[in-house]
Amino acid sequence: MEALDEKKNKIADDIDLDKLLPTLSDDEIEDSQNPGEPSVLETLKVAWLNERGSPELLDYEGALVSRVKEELETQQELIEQSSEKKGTALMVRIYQMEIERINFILKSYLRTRLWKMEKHIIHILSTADMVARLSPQEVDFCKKYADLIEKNFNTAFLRHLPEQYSQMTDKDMVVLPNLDEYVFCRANSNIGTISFGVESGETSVSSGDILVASYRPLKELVKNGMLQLI
Amino acid sequence: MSAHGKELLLEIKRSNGLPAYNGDRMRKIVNETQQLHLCIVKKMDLKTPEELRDPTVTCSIVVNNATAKRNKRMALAYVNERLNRIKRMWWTRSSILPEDMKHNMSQAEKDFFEGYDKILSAYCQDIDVDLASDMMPPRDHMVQVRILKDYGEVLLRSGQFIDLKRSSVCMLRSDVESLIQRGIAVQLKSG
Repeated sequence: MEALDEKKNKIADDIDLDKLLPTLSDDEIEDSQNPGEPSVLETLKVAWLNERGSPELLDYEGALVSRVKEELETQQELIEQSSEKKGTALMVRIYQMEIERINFILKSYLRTRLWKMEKHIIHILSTADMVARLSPQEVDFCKKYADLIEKNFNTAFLRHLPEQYSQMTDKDMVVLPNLDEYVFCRANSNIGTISFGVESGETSVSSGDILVASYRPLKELVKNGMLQLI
Repeated sequence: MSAHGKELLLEIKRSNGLPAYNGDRMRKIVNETQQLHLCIVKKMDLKTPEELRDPTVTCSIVVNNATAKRNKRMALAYVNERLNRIKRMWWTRSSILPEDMKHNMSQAEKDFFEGYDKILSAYCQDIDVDLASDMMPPRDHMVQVRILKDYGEVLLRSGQFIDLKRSSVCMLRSDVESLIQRGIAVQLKSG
């Protein structure tokens, strides 16, 4: 019995979990930031959900993406260092799973943007406001994609058509995002009354309320973070 | 009028996957549109301004124009839908085209796929993120897969080599994702 207790104590001394591996989304990060400031993971989740829920392309969160990539790299290095130590297999696996989840969210965010860009390609490239929402790499991608599509349509049949019909940029042929689409959202703070036009009237919204409404009147509120798309 | 366009759209709507490219019908649509255009031009040239004000003449010009535009719209919809399905293949299967798909694609579509592969790979390299992996939310660190054919040696992320033969194996999710995409392994339901 005593030998067993001794053994247990020895293992407990070896594995001082708090000192072993710093966490990505836990207390340590919250201590190092201002209290009340959301963690990198929280901010990424918000950006991801907003991008997925909105019918139009939102602003590119460049600073956030860079931070996430840095933190992922740091976490990965720490895991590689620690996996050589004994007794850390479980913790390593948990942190590995966390990395995979964050990776997934980051990639899903970027993919959602890519697919929206492809869908509304002509509209995006011809509106200065939309181009401003792209990262430099995304602008590059959009231009190349537009060229690719145009080349394909032209080869397929457009160049054989009479001149009046051979353009790709007819007004009624451009796919526009449907800003009147209904979206689900949650209020992050007390917003007061939102007006939905003469027919639909007004609603008063306070913090924590969940709302289903047309996207257009909510655009600005989502942009400044008062509403969160879900 | 514009029956070809309708046939094309019905054909693509009723099919899953990628049916053979119907170049024949596309040519017929182009011909029809050219004919319509010629009609319009003829009418505009031959008639005097007074005659052009005749509602039957203007009506027929408007109808011809509307049909031509409709033809264009339908042809574009057909080509666009095919391109969407081809793009989906890149995202679900990987950048290698299966032979039966290649058979059904026109040369322009094959060029498009190659071009699409190129620009996506360039973009992923630019931002240093591999967008084609982690397509589904991760549920488990390890998954059980059955290897469907003798594939030979594969390099895992941990740096080890593993010989893949027809059997059931438990592997890291991230290693196995590309194998599942290419049809070499199939995930066993965890239970």
